[in-house]
Amino acid sequence: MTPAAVAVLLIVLSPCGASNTNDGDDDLARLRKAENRRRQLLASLEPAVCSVMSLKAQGGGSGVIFSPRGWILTNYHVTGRNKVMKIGLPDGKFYLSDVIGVDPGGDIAVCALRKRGPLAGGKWPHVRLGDSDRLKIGGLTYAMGNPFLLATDFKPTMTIGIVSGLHRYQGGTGPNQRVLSYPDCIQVDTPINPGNSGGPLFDENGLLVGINGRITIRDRGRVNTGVGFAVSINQIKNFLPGLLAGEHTEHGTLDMNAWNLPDPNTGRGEGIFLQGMLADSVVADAGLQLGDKITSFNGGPLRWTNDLARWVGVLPAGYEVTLGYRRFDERTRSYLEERVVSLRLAPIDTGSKHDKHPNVPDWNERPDFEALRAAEAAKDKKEGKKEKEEEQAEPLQEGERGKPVPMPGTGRRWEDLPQPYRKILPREWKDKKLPPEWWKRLPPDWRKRVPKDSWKKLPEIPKDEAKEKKRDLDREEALFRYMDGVMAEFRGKLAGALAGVDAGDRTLRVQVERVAGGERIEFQRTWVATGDDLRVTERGKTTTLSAAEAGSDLKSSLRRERDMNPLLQPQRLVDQLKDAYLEGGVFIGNRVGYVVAIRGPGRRAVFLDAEGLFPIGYRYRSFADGGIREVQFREFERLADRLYPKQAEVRLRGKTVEHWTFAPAQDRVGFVSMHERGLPVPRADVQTRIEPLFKSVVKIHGASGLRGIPGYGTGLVVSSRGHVLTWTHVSLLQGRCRIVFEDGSVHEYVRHREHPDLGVTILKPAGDLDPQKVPFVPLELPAEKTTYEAGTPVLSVGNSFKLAEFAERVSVTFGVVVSTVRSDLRLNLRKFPFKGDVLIVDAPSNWGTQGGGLFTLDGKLIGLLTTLAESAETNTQLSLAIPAYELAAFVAQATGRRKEAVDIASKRARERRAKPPVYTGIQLFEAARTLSPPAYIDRVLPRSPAAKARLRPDDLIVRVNEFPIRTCAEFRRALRNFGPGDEVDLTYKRGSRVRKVGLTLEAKR
Amino acid sequence: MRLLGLSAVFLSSVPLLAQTDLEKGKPDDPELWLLHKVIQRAVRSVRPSIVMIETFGGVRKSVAGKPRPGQPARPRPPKDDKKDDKKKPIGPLRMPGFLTAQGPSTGLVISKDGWIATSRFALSWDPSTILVTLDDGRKFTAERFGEDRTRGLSLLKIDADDLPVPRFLPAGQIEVGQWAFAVARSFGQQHPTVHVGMVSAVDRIQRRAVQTDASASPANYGGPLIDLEGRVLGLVVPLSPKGDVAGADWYDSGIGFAATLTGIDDKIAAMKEGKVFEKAFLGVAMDPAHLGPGARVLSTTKKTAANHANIRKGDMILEIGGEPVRHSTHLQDLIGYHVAGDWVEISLQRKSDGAVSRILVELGKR
Repeated sequence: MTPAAVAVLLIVLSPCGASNTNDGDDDLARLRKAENRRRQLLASLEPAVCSVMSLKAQGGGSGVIFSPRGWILTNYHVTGRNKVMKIGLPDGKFYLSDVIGVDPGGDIAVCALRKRGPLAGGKWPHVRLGDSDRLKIGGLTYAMGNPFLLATDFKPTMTIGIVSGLHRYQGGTGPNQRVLSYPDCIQVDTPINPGNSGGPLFDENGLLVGINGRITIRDRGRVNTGVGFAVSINQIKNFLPGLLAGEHTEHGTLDMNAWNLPDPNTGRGEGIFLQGMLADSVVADAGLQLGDKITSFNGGPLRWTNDLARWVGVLPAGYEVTLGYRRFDERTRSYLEERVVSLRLAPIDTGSKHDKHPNVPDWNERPDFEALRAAEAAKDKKEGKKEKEEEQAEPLQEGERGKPVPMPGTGRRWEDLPQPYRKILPREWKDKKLPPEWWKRLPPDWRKRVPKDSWKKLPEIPKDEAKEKKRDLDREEALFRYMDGVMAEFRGKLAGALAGVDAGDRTLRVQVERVAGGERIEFQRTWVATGDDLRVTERGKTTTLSAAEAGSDLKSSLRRERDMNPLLQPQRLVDQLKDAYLEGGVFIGNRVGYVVAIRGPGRRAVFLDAEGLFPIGYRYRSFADGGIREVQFREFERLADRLYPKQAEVRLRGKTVEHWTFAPAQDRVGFVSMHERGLPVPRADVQTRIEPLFKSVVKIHGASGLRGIPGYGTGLVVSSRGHVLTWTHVSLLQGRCRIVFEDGSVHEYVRHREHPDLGVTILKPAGDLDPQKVPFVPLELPAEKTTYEAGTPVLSVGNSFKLAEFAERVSVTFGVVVSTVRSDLRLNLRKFPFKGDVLIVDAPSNWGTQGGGLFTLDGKLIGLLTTLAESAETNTQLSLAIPAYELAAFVAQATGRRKEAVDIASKRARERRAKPPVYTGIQLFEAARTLSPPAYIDRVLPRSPAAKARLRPDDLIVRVNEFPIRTCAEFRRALRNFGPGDEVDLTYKRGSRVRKVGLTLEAKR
Repeated sequence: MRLLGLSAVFLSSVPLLAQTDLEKGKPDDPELWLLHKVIQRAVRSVRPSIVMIETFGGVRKSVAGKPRPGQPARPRPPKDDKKDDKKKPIGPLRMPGFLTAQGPSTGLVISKDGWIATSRFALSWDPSTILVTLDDGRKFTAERFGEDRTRGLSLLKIDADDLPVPRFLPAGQIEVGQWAFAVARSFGQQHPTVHVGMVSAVDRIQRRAVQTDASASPANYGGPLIDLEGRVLGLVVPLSPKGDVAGADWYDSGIGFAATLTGIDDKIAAMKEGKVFEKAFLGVAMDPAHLGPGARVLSTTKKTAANHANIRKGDMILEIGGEPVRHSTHLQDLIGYHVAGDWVEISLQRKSDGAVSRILVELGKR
């Protein structure tokens, strides 16, 4: 019996055991339960996922609503420089939204829906932000969005997959890859396709962990190949306050180049050395010099430049970081002690094309108050003159000169009039159409101002215009100065607090004096934490909150204060302060209140309510007219040990345009942290089994490939001496290559043995590889033939697209065994050396995965991934793996300690050569065409094997043994596998019947 | 020194970790682990109804559609109106830039008396001989009947009785997020092939298909998409909103479709008579900037239903068949629910005078 027949038999027999069925019942019930849970989860997330399209263009992307206010996260490459986007929601309708903040460097944009949401209180259905740092490789993820704009009803497409890699660095475009870069992204095998851009990536708990934005494609075009990237939500959180504040956020940079190099000073080991910097860069200012060895960043040790690129890449400009370096002392020939400097990241110039989004105001802009005043004065003078002239020349009176004044505003509503008019006109008109000739109710000098043509051009400020403006300028300037002062003060206080607090000291004082809306507010607060008690002193009044006496309310408030207030936790203080300005958001009733972050120097500030610093005012950009409004709070009420505003004044260009009043107890006024606490933790999944695999799968870098053929691959450690098994590939052409182990160490390897029939190569270390120093674990290859049923879940582990460098983990994708197929029979592969049973899997193969491992979920090796194979049978690219048992003998021989001669001559090739051509006596009907026609018999020669088998002309040959015959060419090719004297089964179609006949082949005459 | 110490720790801890982990048995979230046996069972229950389809001969035109840029237009054979429509229902599948596959394909038994549904993709070459192999190894030649191009389906008949019919899950009960396995026989193996994914969306392609992220490709077109219990959700076919032949270029991308087979008994009955259903085409381009309600016409194509009905640029389409049009994308859906040859009532507001009129239009083919 041939091996293929055995395999087929085993496949048929294996699922028949009775125990299997029982297990299956149990599994089915559990899987149903999990499936139901997921169905509910996905259904609950669906309403917040939207399609994002520009008004004109046909294309579009996806987005997700992340706040009840209708704020949408999407990609910058979806919104671009558009001001307004149309949003398709799963209710099947379009909504309009404004782009309010953009981050071209990190490919993120935030849009705000104009309408109030459908839920109670005008809220929008929204998703919760998760914590992307908690993701594990192998964890389940769901992607949603509108790929290829398939959803005509905007119900999102939902796809499932696993995390393939974490903390991937993907450079962007433009100068120095600064635009649309993905410095710390999540790699998933969850299918993401064009149109998914901007859509959410959820973890298995339905928390938003990333924004899908990018895929790596192969030569077959813009479709998913199992490698998708999502901007991690933790990076987005760093920029979110700025984005919501209506900023064009900028990424930070150190303005320097550093490389991983062998130590040039001592000649031992490697390090990261500063190789270039701008003369006026922040690192130069901080005292670094070329050649310094960079050792730490933000307190964490640094080993690879990639880490540095990642860590810096996720931070906004102006962020304060620490950098540790060691300088080589030429005199003593040794490194000096590590010096740690603190510096502020400089902004990256993303290029003029992406500068100044039309919707984003320039917060840095300072009005030139002197010039403004001068201009005002000049204008007043001129207008004053003009007005007088007008008054004299054309005293506009109703009905004068026989022409009735048209009726401006007729049919309009009272609300549509500028505010000064509303003040004068009767309030009963509110919510009603204006009566005809409404202007008659205006005072005579006002009436003159109502122009003839349009009610819309009503002058805004009827009287004392100049005077008011002047006064406003003063106030505005004062506000600017004041806000800067507060900011400086706040920074000073925090810095002071930081300096004054060390481990053990649990006392903190913050004192702020400020003037808000003409009111002077003095504010001093002291916290003293002793044991479980917390003493809060404010304006001379001390409240002691103790766990024992406070009851559950106070207890929880105390706990909250302690948990939420970084200042009470000295050990966390440093960390928390680093992103003090990132933690913030002001929600005020249903008003659109934007967070304005405390940013680097010169930035506008609005306030965090943490640490007792209540918001006293902020600025936002109105959707209605695009004007930037200042909100100043007045009167505060104490609630749950915090102060909340009761009134606010909204000012536009210095004028009060609105008054808001709050009932702090009912309205939600308060602090919302971007970094939510107490999130559900993703459950342990297959990742526990994946972790050990990285010690057995290595990255191979060889000869640089030709165009389109990668010079890299993956290998499996198969012996305790460090032999590496891989797929024979162009990258090994030179005979030498570099192999990178899990710890990031690089080793020189040479070709040891190659097997032409299997298509695999074994590499050995060029020098000695000390197993004590390199943490690898050799894999065991199963020696016995095993069958893997279709549907067996597998993990494919390989360095696809060279995404992993040094100590980074190679990519892991999930899939199942699709089928086990004889590669020579059914796949019609070109240039595929291995003839035998191959595993087809639906985990994608990519450039670089060749030589990687196919594992069961419990980490057992079942196959070696081959290059991407193209099957003429399906006309598609297939992911194939050679079963590990086929390779076991060769590996054992080649890595054996005994130096016996290994017979790697191609056994099959010899067999093939030994087979002389055969004779059947069948002549096929073969017209001269470019494509070979079906194998219809034209003539059967007398006394031939075919005649003996009673074949007739017009029979259609469809099989020779198990070889499928579709064309005459295939018939001839199939016969090459047999020699004279072999018996074959021939299946043919006669009329509408299909029959089978035995045929004894003869030697060709 | 520090490095050395670290690596020593790694080495000693690794085998231990692996051991304890394996001894623990199944981890907390075993969803992926549980799949194995469940897939086996599900496939076993449906496999008797899955057949392999092999084709021989046919019109082997790989590119018969629009010429690619720079390529001269190929002369088309003159249309032969006398040809029996029943015998030759379709021409070759037009798929510019994409070769059709030559390997075996898959079909699903839909009735005891030998009716088999498959994907049009398998028959794109209009083969002269179609060979059907049942699960038990019996081989039959099949005859081709009608098709539903809006679903990418084709109907075959073999001369056999008492074929096993699978269980179907009605289209209304399919939910997003449930597991979905695409089962097929395309590699000629005894055991069917399996691709795993979940239902990505329902009511796609004008409520004719469910969408799945299980890999769909010529390797499993024509095979069923099944749920955990082996019930058929639909037939895997290449589909795309763009037209009736595209979709195969998205193979294995996580965007796959399965045409639903429930609730279309009347269509299947007509297809058994040789009827060919084609996508309905109105022939208007819509203004994307108009957010609705209604859809504003940007232009009309010549020799189409819209052109015949005198729909003009700037007209506002308010209702189709009594249903208000929400926006331009919704209009495409409302038209797409019909097939070519259907009569629909369109409520139209003329740009010229603002008058609303109702017109009856026969939808054409593309």
